[in-house]
Amino acid sequence: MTPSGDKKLQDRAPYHLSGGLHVTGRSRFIGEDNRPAELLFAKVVLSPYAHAQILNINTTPAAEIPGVVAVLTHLDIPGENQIGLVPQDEPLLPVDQVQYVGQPVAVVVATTPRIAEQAVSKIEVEYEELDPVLTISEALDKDQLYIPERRIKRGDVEQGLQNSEYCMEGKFATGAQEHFYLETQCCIAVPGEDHQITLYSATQSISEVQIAAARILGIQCKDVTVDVPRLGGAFGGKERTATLWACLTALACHQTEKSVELRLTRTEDMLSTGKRHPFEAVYKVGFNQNGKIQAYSVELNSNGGAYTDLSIAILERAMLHAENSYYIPNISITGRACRTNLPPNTAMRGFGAPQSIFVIEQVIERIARKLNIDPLDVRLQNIYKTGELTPYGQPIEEASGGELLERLRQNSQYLELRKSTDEFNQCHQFVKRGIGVVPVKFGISFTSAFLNQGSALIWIYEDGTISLSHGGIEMGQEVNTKVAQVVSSELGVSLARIRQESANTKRVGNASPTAASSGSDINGNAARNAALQLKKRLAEIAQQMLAARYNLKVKEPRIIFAEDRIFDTAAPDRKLNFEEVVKQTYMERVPLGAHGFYKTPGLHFDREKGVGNPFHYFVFGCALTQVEVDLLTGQSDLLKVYIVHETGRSLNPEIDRGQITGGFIQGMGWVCMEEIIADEKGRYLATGPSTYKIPTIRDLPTIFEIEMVEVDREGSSVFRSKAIGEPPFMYAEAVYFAIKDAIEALTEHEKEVELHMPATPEAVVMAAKNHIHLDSTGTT
Amino acid sequence: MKASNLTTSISFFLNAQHIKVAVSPETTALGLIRNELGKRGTKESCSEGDCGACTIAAGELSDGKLNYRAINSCLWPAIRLHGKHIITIEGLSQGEELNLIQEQMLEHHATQCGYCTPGIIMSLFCLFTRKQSPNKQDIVQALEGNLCRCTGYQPILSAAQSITELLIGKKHTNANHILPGYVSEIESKLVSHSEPIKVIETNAFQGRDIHGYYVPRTLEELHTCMDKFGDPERYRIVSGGTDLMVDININRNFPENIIDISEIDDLSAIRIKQDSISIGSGVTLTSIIEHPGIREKLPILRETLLLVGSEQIRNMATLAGNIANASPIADGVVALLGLDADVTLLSKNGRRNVKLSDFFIDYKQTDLQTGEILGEIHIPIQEGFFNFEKSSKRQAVDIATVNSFCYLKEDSGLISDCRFVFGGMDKTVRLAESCRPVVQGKKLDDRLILKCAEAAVKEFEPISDVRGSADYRRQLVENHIVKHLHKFLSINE
Ligand SMILES: Cc1cc2nc3c(=O)[nH]c(=O)nc-3n(C[C@H](O)[C@H](O)[C@H](O)COP(=O)(O)OP(=O)(O)OC[C@H]3O[C@@H](n4cnc5c(N)ncnc54)[C@H](O)[C@@H]3O)c2cc1C
Ligand code: FES
Ligand code: FES
Repeated sequence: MTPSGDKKLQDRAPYHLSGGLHVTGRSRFIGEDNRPAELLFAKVVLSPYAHAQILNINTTPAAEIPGVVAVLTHLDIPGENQIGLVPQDEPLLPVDQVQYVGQPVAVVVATTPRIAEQAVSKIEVEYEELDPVLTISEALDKDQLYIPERRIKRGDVEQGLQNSEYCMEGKFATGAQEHFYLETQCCIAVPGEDHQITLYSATQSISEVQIAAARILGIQCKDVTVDVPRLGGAFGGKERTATLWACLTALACHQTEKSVELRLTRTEDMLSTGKRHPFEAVYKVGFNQNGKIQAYSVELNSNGGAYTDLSIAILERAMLHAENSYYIPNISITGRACRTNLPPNTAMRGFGAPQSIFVIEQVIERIARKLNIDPLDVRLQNIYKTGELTPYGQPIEEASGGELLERLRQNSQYLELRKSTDEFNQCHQFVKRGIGVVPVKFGISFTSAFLNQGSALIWIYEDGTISLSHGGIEMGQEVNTKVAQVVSSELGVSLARIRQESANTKRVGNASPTAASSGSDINGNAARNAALQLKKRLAEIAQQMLAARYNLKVKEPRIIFAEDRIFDTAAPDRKLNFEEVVKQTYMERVPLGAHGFYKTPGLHFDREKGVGNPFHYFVFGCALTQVEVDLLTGQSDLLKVYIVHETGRSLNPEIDRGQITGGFIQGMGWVCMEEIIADEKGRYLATGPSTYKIPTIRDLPTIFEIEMVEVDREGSSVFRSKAIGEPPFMYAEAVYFAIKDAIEALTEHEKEVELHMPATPEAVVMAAKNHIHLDSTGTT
Repeated sequence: MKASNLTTSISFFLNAQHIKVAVSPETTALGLIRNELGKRGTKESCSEGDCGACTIAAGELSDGKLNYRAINSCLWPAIRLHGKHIITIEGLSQGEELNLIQEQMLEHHATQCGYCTPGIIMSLFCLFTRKQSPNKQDIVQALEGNLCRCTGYQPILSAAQSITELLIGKKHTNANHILPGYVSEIESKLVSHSEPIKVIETNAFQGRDIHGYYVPRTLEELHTCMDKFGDPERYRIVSGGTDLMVDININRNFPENIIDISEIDDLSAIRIKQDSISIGSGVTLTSIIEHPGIREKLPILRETLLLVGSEQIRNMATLAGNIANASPIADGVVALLGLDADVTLLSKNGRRNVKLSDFFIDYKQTDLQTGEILGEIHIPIQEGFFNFEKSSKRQAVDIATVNSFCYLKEDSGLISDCRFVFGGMDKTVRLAESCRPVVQGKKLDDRLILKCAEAAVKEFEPISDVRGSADYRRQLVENHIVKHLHKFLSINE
């Protein structure tokens, strides 16, 4: 299409656009610059109960403290007390009942953070404790579901099970995960004239915050501006969750008519914000002697927490990934999202897919164990081939899972690795090694089709520099770098000309959340669309200028934009400066601004029937890990990690590599380290990094090899790149299976061990203890 | 020590700048630098010393040279900045020219959201000011107190490794561009720096959380100060502050007054004697770890302390604080009990020595009497086998679920003496008494190991908490004994 081809784009893949600012400490996060002079501070009263009736709120003692400006409850909400999306079920401040520990009940606004804190402790709330529902099984017993159960079906599972040579059934539960973005939830609200308000909110979703804040304040979207310079990490935890805190700040600002800052402490953040959904699955599987799966039925039950939030969409994505990379002729997937009295669980990298993929991978491992076949071979036996249909009827157009697994086998020298692992295990009594493999197929697009749209706004100024706005939020994934690359490539200008603006509802309205790995696809395409419009206009002017200046007359002009110059292929040495063409365009009164739009083509999904094409394309890859486990202490050391990941034509390979490494390590935390523990009253006990442990640099593997396979696929996105944010997360499930493999080495792989997920040292010690013989005279 | 002035100014150097500013007792170094001085490159993320986002380099003169240590500024009272040279992320690049560390971090895509980045760079800065060619282990040690949720650390490790290569190979044109140019100037200015601060008091009626912050320079001043309050409820001693400041920041337990003993010279010595080692209560864990005499005579103490917290924490924390805090899971205490240490307690009436095993009375309760502080720790130098085991959820920077220490002495193939100590199993760290009769005078074999483990398990009734269930803890006791004794056997094979 354009001569400024994709290959070139990669050649000049830059560093992180904000990298220079980050490493010098000059990048500014919310509240770090232009702090309003008379800033007030908000602090929130959090419910100590998971479920309770609010009998009375006495704010007087707090309001009397000098320096306290306002104490606000639901009575002070001028608009509608509702921040839910679909369905609308979440109050900003509860009227009669609290539904989870940490739920905001009232807000104090004061002149200093410490006064606000002191005032919070003076607010007397009388509660009558009610019984909370905390677990999935309790919720199922009480039929507390967010929506009627959903189902995706193909073939006849009962028949398939009967026709299979082997049948197995089981359960598998996956745990919650805290996002642990380094920057906690925060917002600054600034009042404007005529009831306007500007919110600097740490959100992944400027439009949602705008809509909810308008509704709460009884004003309209036109009155609310949401601006996000960048986020200090999000991972899904600032998609819906940020709305609550932004609206509380907006309320405080509205009522005091002063600028207000709300910033959660780490403890508040971890106590009261939702996590990755815990899932409990029940499955039945039928398979043949060769490991080929004939039938699979799985029930996926999620713990959604106290309000719907994104639970339905997450359940849906979980269901759409229940078969992972495998073709299963007879399959039945049932999904239920349970309402409980935990903080509303929410989006987190993978969005349900890691949970359901974990189940089928567990099934594969069990099949391999049962048949005594290598688990990698069982995976290959079942892997999708091109043209096969998913359970919901979408064809797999370019199935590369099998090919990638073969590459992984080679890269890791699989057979030798197995052999050396077995040998090691032969001569070690309490320390064992294990190997785990997991392939991943991940569907790209929001499963709510309407969200797959994006806008961008480009202004070329008179001096030839460019202002670029789009709906994507920069949170470390470098969507800004990628989108700027697209624009710089289309317009043939250096990145230095481009100013990436903050995400702002005034420049880009109705923006979809930056989520579902789709940020660069949607916004990159929208920006490209805007750039192409401008390019067309500039090319016309350039053509006139070339004709006038060089007397250049070509029948079919082919105007090229490259290296800040504009020329015709017919006379490549006759070049115009980008600036002069811009200037001339302006003088000719041709617009130098453009709004670009993009919608992902060909998406549809019938939720009732469970059929359709919900995804634009799939991302494929696989991972192998080797661990060494001390079965006495339960400590696991990651020795080797091999990842093979298909990138499409990467816009920026270093950024993509960063997403793979970061996603993998985050996933590793989920599968073997991070544990959300609640007490019997539904209060989270780990509310800071002292008790909630995420991976550190010491947890890196000794060998970490990533092969990025560049393939040019029809089904891909801007400049044939593919999304990267979420898929690598699931590679880490291979670590869990490696640990399990190591423990099973205790019984020469003859017995299956029950290993809790996450496979913490505790889980390992408890799983190993019945198989370990402390008095054996085995070698040490 | 007259406490008359209500606003005390501290004076220090921040990057190339001299700062004189009034501080209150509850201001942290992070709060001062970030909010009051507006240097917002230094981030806050947890306020409990566990994430490293707030890491700054704190420089002190030693032999006329500035020596920089990474510290968590969220756990430092602002008053401690007095007389120091502080370098923050803003002080590394000069104009538009990046410091080598910054340049390599950028080049290796070692920053994503950027929130952890300043802290990581400051940790690396402190590492490279003391080691030109750190190995991977050194790098990991320097960075394990810095959490990054985005990058997965690999690019950070690569950046650090390439800095080493560039420094060794002098491939980099400004090979020595780790230290900013202004450092030598500040070195000379600090020599003649103003008087030490002794007290910061605020008007108690202004609703302050902490009324006074006292910094005695001698034991005499300390005793006068403690005497003044009399009732120990009215003040708390702070040494490294890594326990106390967390209690303030997270639990919001504000002491009425703080007495900071970190400037008392008499408490800062390590003395290596013929048959014992004495460690002053003001000595930081890092100083113990780096002390050549300890490395030679008491390597097990060094190895144990390297497992405490992070580099930043070890740069601040003291062994005495680990003891006085009386946590049932303190790593240092487990080792010291296993080494049969005793402690000297000081008061205005004199000193007394107490065996460490008698020092702990109950959960978080010690034998410290009103007006007493822990002055010195004495560890006998002994022959024998020593081993420390720590089980925690995460390998780096984590409080143990169970930790243990084993001392064994062998005489012609038979166990002649032993001590097994466990943390995390009771209200205090304590000896597992029942092991001794099992192994004493016997030859160690698999069967005896098992018996010993069984005996130990019977002794404890642990509780379940966020760090592990009671069953798990019991299993760990058994497994630790097996680990200790197998190590012993493999060494003595
Ligand atoms: C992130 C982090 C990680 C940690 N990791 C570990 C770990 O792995 N293992 C571990 O064991 N601990 C760990 N700790 C706890 C802490 O660092 C240690 O207990 C440390 O040794 C405390 O020493 P300090 O000098 O900082 O004590 P401070 O906080 O100064 O004092 C602790 C207590 O002792 C009292 N005190 C201090 N010195 C004296 C004295 N000389 N006389 C009388 N009373 C005194 C104080 O009043 C206070 O009550 C960690 C802490 C943090 C924040
Ligand atoms: S803010 Fe986390 S260590 Fe200081
Ligand atoms: S770059 Fe985001 S936390 Fe490290």
